[in-house]
Amino acid sequence: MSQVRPDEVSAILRKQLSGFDNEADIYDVGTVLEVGDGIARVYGLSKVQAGELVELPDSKDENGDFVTGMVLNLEEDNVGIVLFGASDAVEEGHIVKRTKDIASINVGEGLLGRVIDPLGVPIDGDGAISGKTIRLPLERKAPGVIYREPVKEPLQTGLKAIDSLIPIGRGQRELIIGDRQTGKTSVAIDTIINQKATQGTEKPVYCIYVAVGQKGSTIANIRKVLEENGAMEYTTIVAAPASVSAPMRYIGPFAGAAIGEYFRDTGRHALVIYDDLSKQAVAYRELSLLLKRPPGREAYPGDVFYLHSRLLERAAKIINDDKVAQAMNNIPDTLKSQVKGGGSLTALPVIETQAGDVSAYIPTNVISITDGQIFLDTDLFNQGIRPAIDVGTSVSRVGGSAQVKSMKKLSGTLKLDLAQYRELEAFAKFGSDLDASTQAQLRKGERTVELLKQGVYQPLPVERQIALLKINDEGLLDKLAVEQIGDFESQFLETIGIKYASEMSKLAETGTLDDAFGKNLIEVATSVIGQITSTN
Amino acid sequence: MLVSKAARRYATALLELAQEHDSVDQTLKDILYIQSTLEGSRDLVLFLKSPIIKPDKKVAVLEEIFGDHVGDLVHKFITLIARKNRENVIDEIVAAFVKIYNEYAGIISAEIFVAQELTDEQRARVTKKLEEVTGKKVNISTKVQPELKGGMAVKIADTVIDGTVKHKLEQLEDIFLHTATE
Repeated sequence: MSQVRPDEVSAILRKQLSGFDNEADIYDVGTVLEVGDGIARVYGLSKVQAGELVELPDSKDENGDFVTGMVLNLEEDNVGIVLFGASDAVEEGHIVKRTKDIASINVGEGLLGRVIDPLGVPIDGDGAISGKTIRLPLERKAPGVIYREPVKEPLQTGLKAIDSLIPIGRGQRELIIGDRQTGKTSVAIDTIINQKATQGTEKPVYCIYVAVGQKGSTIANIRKVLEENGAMEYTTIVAAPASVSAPMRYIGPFAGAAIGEYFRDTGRHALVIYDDLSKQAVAYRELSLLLKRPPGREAYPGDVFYLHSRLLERAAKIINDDKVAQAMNNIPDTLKSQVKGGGSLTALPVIETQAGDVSAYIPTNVISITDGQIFLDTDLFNQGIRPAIDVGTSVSRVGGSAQVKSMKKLSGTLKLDLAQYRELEAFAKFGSDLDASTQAQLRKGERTVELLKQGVYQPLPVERQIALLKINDEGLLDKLAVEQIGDFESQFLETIGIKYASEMSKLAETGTLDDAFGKNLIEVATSVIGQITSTN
Repeated sequence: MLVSKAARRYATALLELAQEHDSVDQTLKDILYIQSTLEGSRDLVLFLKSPIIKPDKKVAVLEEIFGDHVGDLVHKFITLIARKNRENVIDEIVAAFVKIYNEYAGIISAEIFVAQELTDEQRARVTKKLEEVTGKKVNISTKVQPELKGGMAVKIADTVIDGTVKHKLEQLEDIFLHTATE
């Protein structure tokens, strides 16, 4: 901000005063009857709409900020509102004013690189959001059937285990589920970091990370990691940490969805991560119980399924036809002029289970809503298999059609190999005498599992994944000891990166691995394996 | 005033009966008399609401205060309320009756917030203007709030038409505080 000269001040004042008319202001009001636990009951406000934002100007503090709220319950003789600010600033008898604005957030390109709260207020101390913003409602109906398209473009996570076995497509909803401390957030962060590769291209993926009910320090750490990896430039963090009130944690994911929809409906691609929805469900349970809505299973309100289904339905692949897309249902007027087809919003919701119990209420709900799940397992994590993806129980229902060609081909045998290995692994524990073919299968399985291990924040481009899996598919790794796989991976990737740079970029572009290049890869691998085995 | 469902039902019943007996005006007069009595004596309201005092004692007091001053219908009505042990909500019933009567007679009430008491001429002008705008008979009540500094705010039901100096100053403050300088 530059210095303001005195003449500028008076010029600004004059300008603003001249626009200051003498008309009376008309607004609707109500009175606070009772307040507590972040909930207020209001008498009056007879024309208010559900979901509308209201202001409580009487609660003004020394900075001129006052508490706002959202209408959730409309009852016969009172209105139940949830308060976004400190409810101790609100007293009985305070005036509640309508804003005639359904809960919304200001969205624009300026949000990229920023940390905001669920109402769109920046909380990273870098000043106001720059550039043009438009106001989009938090709650919006998902696009109808005719405005959608099947998932067909891949969303690369950069994780070998996911991109090969549980592929995710743009517009898909893939659940990341697991106990605490199994690396759920790391999978999500890796995926964000891997989108850096798309930034220079025609179809960049913008990312939104919604942190619900997490520690403030965790959120700060995630921001740091993203910044260090150059991923913050195309990412927005919506932070609703554990310290904010339940209503804020409840609307956090909806704010993330609204930002994602801005990119989706303007013909671009976005990825939104809801970390995590179990905490949002807890926040929603809290305010539902305080609003005296009847509790159901596990004390969650009856509409907790709808809470998540309506949120996740907003992830979609929009039809690649501007004319049809412009006729889409429920487009806010503010967005209408900018609508384009071909965009997508991919959602990666995260659910935390308790002691691996996926049959609890919220996990089963979200599993049934999403197009597949990535199941992370504590035992695998402790065995050192990281990412600790349980390949047997993880599925992707639609991602297969979005996979690149050669990856699809390689993943078929990979899946089969792993399934056979798991079966034999359990069986091999009992007997010691195994025939040669069984031993070969076990040997290959062990190496495949080792190859699918990957460090955090080290996403791998898809062409490199294909190269590695091709070598594994050829069975070349069987010559190495399990401990040598890591060395092989780094040396092999380094060599082909130097030797076959142009072929690799071609592979990245087309997604097809031709026979000639395949042979080259096998040659390089054989020589690298030769080196490793001879030195030991 | 927040009126309970029970109070609304008693009030509706009373108005309907009054219409049948063609004694709406008399009933309204009696109810207004009760309302002003209750408003004038907080002790009486507290006495009626007290859970410690026995119902028959409350009935006797109500009988003594209102027995000779109200018409036959309202007298019977008070007895009914007493018998149903609803004397503790009599203030709500009275308020509900006034509200329902106003709806029935097409009268709306408007609250006027001013910094200084209005003169009779001003009151007449405000009433006339509001009647023109709303197309209904308007009953105004004024509230003097010196902190408004000047101007006037009118509240009809939940809608406020605010032209007070205080509100203007707040708007101005808001504009100045929330306009970023480049």
